[in-house]
Amino acid sequence: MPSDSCSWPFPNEFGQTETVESEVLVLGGGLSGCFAAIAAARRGRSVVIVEKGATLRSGAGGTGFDHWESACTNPCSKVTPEEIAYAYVDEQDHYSNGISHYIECREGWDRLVDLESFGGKIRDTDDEFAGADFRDEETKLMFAYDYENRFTLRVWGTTFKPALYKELQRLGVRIYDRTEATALLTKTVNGKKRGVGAVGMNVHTGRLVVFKAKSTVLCMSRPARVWLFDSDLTGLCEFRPMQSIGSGHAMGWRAGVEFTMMEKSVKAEFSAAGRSFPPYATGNNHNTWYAATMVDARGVEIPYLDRDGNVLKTVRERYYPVKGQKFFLKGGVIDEPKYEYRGPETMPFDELMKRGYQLPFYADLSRMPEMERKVIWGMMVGQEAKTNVPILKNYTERGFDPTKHALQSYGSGWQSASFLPQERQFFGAPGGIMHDWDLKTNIDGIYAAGDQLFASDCAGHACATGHYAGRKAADYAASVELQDIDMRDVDAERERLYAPMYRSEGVTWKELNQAIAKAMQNYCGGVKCRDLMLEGLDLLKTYREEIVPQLYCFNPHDLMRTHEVLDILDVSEMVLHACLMRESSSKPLCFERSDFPELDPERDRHFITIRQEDGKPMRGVVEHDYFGDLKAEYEKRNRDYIEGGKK
Amino acid sequence: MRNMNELSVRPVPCSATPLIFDETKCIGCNACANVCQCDILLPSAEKGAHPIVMYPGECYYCGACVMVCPRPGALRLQHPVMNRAKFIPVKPDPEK
Repeated sequence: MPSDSCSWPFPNEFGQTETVESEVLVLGGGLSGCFAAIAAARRGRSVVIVEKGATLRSGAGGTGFDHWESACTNPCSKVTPEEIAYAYVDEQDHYSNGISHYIECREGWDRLVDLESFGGKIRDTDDEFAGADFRDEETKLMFAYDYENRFTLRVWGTTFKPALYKELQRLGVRIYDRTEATALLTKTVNGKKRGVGAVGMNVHTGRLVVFKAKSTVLCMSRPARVWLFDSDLTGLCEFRPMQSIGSGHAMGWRAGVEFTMMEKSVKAEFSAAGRSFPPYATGNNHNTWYAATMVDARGVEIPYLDRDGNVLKTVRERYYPVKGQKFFLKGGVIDEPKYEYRGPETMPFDELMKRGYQLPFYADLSRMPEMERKVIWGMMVGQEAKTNVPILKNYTERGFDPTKHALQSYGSGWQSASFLPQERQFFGAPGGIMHDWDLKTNIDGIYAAGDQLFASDCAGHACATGHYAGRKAADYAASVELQDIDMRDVDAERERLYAPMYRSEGVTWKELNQAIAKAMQNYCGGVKCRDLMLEGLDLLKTYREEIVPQLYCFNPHDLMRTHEVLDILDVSEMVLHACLMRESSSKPLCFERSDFPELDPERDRHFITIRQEDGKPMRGVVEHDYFGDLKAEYEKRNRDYIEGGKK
Repeated sequence: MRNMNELSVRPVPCSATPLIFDETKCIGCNACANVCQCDILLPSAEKGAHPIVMYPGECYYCGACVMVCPRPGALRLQHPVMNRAKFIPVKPDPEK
């Protein structure tokens, strides 16, 4: 034991193995995982959730979210699920997840009704916003962005995780908190690969847990800390929580699960460890802050324009489509929408500079009508992920009053961020697991939901796809027998997991994470080419061979972080292989190759898939609109849900 | 025969102080430690004492700990100084 250390407060259970059986196994206890478990339990299956943190508040939406997008079947909606789902497919140049987005459009409202029945707040029941333009007086539902079409809801997301947790307990779902899932277990049954469970480790005690299940749902977020790392403020260097780093992707990759769009990454948008501020903590007019009034240093108001460049004269006009436009799109993955879907917006930064607006800019909510001000500062800032305590509460304590103060915006854009092209993130509908209409992966018995799906979206998407995948996994579980597990697989995983606990010196997880991030910035940055990426793969190989055997730690917490970095290493290699496979550049994929500069040539307009087989990356091709007719295909496969009370 | 390390932990230094306990208000219930999804808090060995912020650099600044705390003011979450955005008194629009 190092001299300045103290003893570990939890029991030492290294060497102990617990076996847990269930029909449906859900890996990840965030929004999608909770709903997957609820759906499977509703169908009478025995269900286990494995969560690295604490399910009560874990996941990217654990402490809240403010928008619920694409709830097209809510009673006030003036759009159809088909209109919005196809609009997203078109807007994203078909590098879009038509299936999962349609599920969100079609079933999102059903999940909100669920959440309300569990005790979550989805309506302005306190009449705090009575009479507001964005509120429907009869249902008390509140809307954001497009007030005419009313398909994005403002919700009280801070109430949702505790409500889901209570429902999981009511349904008898067994929750394994503080347990990291580390590997999928597969087996060949009747000549076909099938998921038969997973391995996990208790991150307080080191106990190994073997989960045997008939079907498994992957609900483990998307990768992070691949390009961005900060050894001091590690928890701030990415948008999502520390534990959401893509372990589901990594274990899927190791097991042979097929992915797509893994070549897509964007110039980073949030890393509050340095280049940006905490999300929604600065003056801006996007997302949570839409459509805040912005002013320049002199107090001159920065105008909003319609899609044709006409200056909007009132605040109200910022929330309505222009004449002749059915609806407009805004939200998490909508950046610079096509003309057809473009809503009101302020001018680009360069144009503002040309016109003489002076820095710094501010959000000045005092110039907005009372209800619009109150709904941004107090509801949206307050309900959105990490805003309740560190922004709303703390800024209020510092004296911020939205009727009297203007909040500064930093840098050259509204994100208050200034990243370099090589500092990248999986953002804006990034890559993930390829799946069919059942949200099933290429391996029987293994399903995926939420952020693990390719081109995933927001919280509503997580909830809707989680429930859907849970249903399908439950149906599958009802049709198969529980399989025995090959204990050699478990032994090999135990050896892999415990190895750093046998060394008392060497390299820490932070040193390796930093090395990987630097390598990815150097070899898989803004502009890529074959030779550069091959060098990158070569360097990562030396890390695997020379550095990984030097990793060491003294307790299960640091061991968990070490496992995360091993997963980041796997994901980084997958990303480099995926980038090598696309031999052209692509605007929608934010993908630039100096050796293949041609932009989106016809020959490459499809999904390139990647999976690992016998240690080798395998390339595949799937046509863009492989999902077919969204409505027809959905209804064909979900009669039980449609006719069975939408549960 | 390989020997596994004896379990031990030491506080990891961090430039920031994300969590501050008020010892006069905290009842040592560990609700904050139990809810923290990044698992940065460890229960104190001393009964009734506040948990130890063992991994401050791993704080994600979500605020779940403060939200769950049964004693208002017993626990404060604060962003590093560099992350506190500036605000100023509003200015009149010179064009109006």
